[in-house]
Amino acid sequence: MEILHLLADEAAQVGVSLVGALNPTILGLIFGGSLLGMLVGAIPGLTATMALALLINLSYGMPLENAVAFLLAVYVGAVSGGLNAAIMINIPGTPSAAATCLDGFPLAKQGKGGLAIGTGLIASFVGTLFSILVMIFLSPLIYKIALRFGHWELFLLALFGIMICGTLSAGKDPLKGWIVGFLGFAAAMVGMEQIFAYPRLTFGFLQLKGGLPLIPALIGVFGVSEFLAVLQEEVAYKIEGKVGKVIPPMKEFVPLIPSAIRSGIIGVIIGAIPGAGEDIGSWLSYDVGKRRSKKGHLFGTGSYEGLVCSEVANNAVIGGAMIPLLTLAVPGSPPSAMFLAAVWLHGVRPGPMLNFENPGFLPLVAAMLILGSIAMLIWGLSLAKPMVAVLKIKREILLPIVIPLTVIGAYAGGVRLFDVYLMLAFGVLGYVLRQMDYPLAPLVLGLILGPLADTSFRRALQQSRGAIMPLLERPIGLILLACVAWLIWTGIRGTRRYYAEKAVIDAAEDAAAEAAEQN
Amino acid sequence: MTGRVHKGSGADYISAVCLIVFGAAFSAAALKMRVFNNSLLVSPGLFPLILGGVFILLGFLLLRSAAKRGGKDQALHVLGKENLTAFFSSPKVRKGTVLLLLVVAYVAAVAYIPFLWATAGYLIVTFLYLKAMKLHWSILLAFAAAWVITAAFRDLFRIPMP
Repeated sequence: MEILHLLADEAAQVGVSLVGALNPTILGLIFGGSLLGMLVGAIPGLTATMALALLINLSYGMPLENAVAFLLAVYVGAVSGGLNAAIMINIPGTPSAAATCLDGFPLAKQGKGGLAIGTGLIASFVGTLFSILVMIFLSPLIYKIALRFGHWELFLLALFGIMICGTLSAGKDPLKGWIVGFLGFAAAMVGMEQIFAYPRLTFGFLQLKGGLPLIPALIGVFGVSEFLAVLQEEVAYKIEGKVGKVIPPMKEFVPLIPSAIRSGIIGVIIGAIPGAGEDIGSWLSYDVGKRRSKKGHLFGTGSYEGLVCSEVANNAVIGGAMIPLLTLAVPGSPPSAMFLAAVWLHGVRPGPMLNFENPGFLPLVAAMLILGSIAMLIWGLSLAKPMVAVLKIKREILLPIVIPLTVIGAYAGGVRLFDVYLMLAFGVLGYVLRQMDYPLAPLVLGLILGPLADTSFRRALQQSRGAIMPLLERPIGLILLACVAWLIWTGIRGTRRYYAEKAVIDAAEDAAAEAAEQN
Repeated sequence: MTGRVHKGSGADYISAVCLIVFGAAFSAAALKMRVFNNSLLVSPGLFPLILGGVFILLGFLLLRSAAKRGGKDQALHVLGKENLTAFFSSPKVRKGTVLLLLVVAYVAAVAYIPFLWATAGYLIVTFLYLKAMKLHWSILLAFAAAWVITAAFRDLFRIPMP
């Protein structure tokens, strides 16, 4: 009964936030943010995280409500905007739309590009709304569990966060994901620690005493490195066919409802896993959809069901990613990490205490996400043709303009040039890591969770007077510890298997090359 | 050793060595940190010390798997003069390096000259290097973009500019 009462109360608060948001300023910011997000998302190579990195600076001077409205509209818009390029030119606008290419592009080749865009946008809208509903109903329950977390559990949560993020984002080589996650932890050790205010690893730089600023680091890792990585590749593409009719007939959707619900659930679950992100959600949903569907054999040939699986899931990740972010301060995806950094700047501290310190924040986020997804649908359906026309502009013209925006973004937070230099350093680090096939999401998560892991670990040891056994008797901690141990076990096995396969392939390549030389 | 370069094992070998060295340096720095109340449990260096150990462990794991795949030979092969020259003269690496240098020059310039001029200069040079459009269009678009960015952020949104 208590839980039902809690949920009803939460839903009522979302309604109040929705009504409160219906003023010209907030609506203008939502529609403006959504359009900007969709534009950035439509440009191949630029991600939703990049969209937030470029536009976060606009939110610095805004009141909290406006900043949340603007940033969430950008987020939803950018994740959805990636489908235009995926469908019309077979290159995903954002990585989250990569699975959309598989059925979207064949549909465009059949002259149904517009219908594919329309279906994808409606699927994105449904996915976002579904995830918001889950977020509204699940978050209060997780708050209740999170309040039982002590220092030991918080440390294990941070450790579990980077381990699972490293495992999922590094694909077949989790070791690299873990390395990058711990590098993020290491970077977070810079500056004054939180127990004795003792300055660590500052190398005499006064500017580093406050720690590495999060926003310049995020902008560097996702903005500058992405700019360099995207522009150094020569990618030729052409727009396939005409856009044509955009709004699909409603009767087409009825058979797709079971797939949409399944994809929504997958998206939310993947979103709730720390750092996993939209691209993993969409690929997993597409894969499951292909195996479960009666028409699975049509996937990849221009199936609306395949398109829906990908687009519902990548947008459902948004609400899913907000669940750990709001309840535990652990971002579920890289763009949500950017959002977390922005709300920190506005004095809001997501986590178990958020419901007491800022009781209206969760309903506010839900309301703004709903309005953001409505704006995305309206823009997407009405501007499908101009959005495709944007793809005709050369990347060589659009992308250099990104760099001045990153400089402003890094500078404006702390008003010091040192942050711009730091952004550049992180940009170079991100670029090198990309070139060596290291994932970047664990780095960011490590940077965010590092202080929590450090402080919680030492406080937990202090409470138990250095004894480990009392810590191992705590049930939540034990579950988390078992999860970490399982991740390590499966990760090492997976890495070994991957390298063994790679060694066989390398040996076969060598043998083939030698045979060719002898001939 | 066939002299062929396999993507990954050489790079993994080198990064594993770097990681071990980094881990050792991190641990050494942690050991130099102050110990408060004669207790290592709450000392600021405890967590960095553990992290240093984790880096060394992960470095050895990576080194072992890279070595099994002939990583040492690959690393020596890749770091050879011939391969390094080929690597740095490849169009992709050259383009990435030039773009990076342009960004570095722009960031340095922002500290000394007005944002609008630095931005316009950076955009003109980058457009020309990328052969995005002809000179006169590059100049026109660069100044237009620099002006719009400056006006929008400084005057409209009141964002502090470098």
